[in-house]
Amino acid sequence: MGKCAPDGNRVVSRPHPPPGMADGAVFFTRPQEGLAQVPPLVGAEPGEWDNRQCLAALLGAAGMAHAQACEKAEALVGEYATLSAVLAAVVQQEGSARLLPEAARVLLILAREGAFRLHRARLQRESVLCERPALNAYLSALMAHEKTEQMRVLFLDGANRLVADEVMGRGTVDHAPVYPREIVRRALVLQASSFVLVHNHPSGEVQPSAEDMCMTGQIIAAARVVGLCMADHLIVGREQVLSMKEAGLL
Amino acid sequence: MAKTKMSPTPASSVQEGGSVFASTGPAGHRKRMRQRVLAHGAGGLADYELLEMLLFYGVPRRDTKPLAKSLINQFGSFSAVLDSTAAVLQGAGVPRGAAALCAQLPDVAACLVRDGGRHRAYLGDWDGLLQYCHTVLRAVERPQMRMLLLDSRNTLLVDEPLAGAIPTSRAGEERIRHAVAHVLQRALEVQACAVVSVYLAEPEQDVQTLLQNCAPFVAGLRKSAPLLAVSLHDHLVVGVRAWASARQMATEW
Repeated sequence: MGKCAPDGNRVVSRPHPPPGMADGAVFFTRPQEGLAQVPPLVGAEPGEWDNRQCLAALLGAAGMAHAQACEKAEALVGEYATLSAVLAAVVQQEGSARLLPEAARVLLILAREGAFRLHRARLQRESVLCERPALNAYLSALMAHEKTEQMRVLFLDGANRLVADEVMGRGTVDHAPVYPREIVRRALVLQASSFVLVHNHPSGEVQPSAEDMCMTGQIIAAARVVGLCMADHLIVGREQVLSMKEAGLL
Repeated sequence: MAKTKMSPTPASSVQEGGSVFASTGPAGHRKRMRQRVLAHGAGGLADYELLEMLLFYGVPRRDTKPLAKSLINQFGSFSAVLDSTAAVLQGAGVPRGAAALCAQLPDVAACLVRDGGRHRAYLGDWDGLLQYCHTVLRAVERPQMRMLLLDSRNTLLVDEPLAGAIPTSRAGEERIRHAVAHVLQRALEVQACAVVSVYLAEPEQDVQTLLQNCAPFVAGLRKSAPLLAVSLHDHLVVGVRAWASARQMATEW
């Protein structure tokens, strides 16, 4: 089964096809179940108007005239599909988002960070694991629209309060590297008593792959050696967050 | 070194006057903080710095750090400040524009959670692709070359015109290389896994001839794309009644 490098490096998702490569074999075959109908190509969703309004208001606050801000917001949300994707593009200085005036770009970066901190603040009040809706909202805001996989670890204290939240690996479009040794080492440094593993699937589907399962098992075993506990492994998809524990996969 | 008088106008040319700090004082401070955010993101800012910078947008010139710190003290935390209404913030001494901006951030936070990508078209099979060509691309001006960039699930990320790859019987080699480079550059930019290029032909044009004319471009793209882990799913020539696929024509794809 899965390939495992001697240093414990593992890929999260299936190792085949090669990293970043779309599976050409699925192209022009009949779609799998659930994908059978072609999604409607026109028609905005109610949420989308909010994305535009929100962006227009931010651009307006950065000094853009109202009409121009609305027009720009319309164009950017049209191009990137979501406010989240627009903000990510500004941070990465990608595409047409980088052509915005500097004042606007700075404000969008600040607003994004402010929004993340609001979500995180809602988490820090109590046990992370008891606040599932807040946790899911936070993780969705951070990761659901990322176009590459990232492995994030939430380190928790004895009362399951958030001690630290760190990105421990960034990968490509369909896998991310994981080092069990580094996760355990970081948990020891932070004096955490447990941790939650989180990674996103840019494809939007939350089903764990065989590689995900195998890697999870390895990390649980590595943590147990030093008396640490892996509280859960969450997979963030486009529309939902899967808890491997709740799904009975741990 | 001769002492040169800094001209007050070129705010953007930091390197030019030979000074390390192009300006000092509150304006220079704002500029430096903005540069820092553009270069390194806002993740490293302390809560009060983040608030201080948000206040830049409603408080011209004045140092906003004292206000930021006093707000956090008064409300208890960064998030408590932002979770307050604009009226409450104005009552606490925040100017109107800045108060409105701060009070808007919970909406931004909510927007980031909501999904907006569901309506993206699935183009992983003939039906989806042809339906897309005949609905969305129907309105597009012809003749025109389009590139459709797809994610690992074959849903559409980007659909945009591809200038410079119009199939004439002898398109310059240089021009083709340029078009191939452009497609792959865009694919990396938007993190696409696959490309479908579509040539939208005029009604009277013959799709098979056009497909042959496209051959050098298709060959170039097929050769280069895998080097960047991008897959070229197909190249289509779509007329009004007929269409042709390079994938179906090729003996081996």
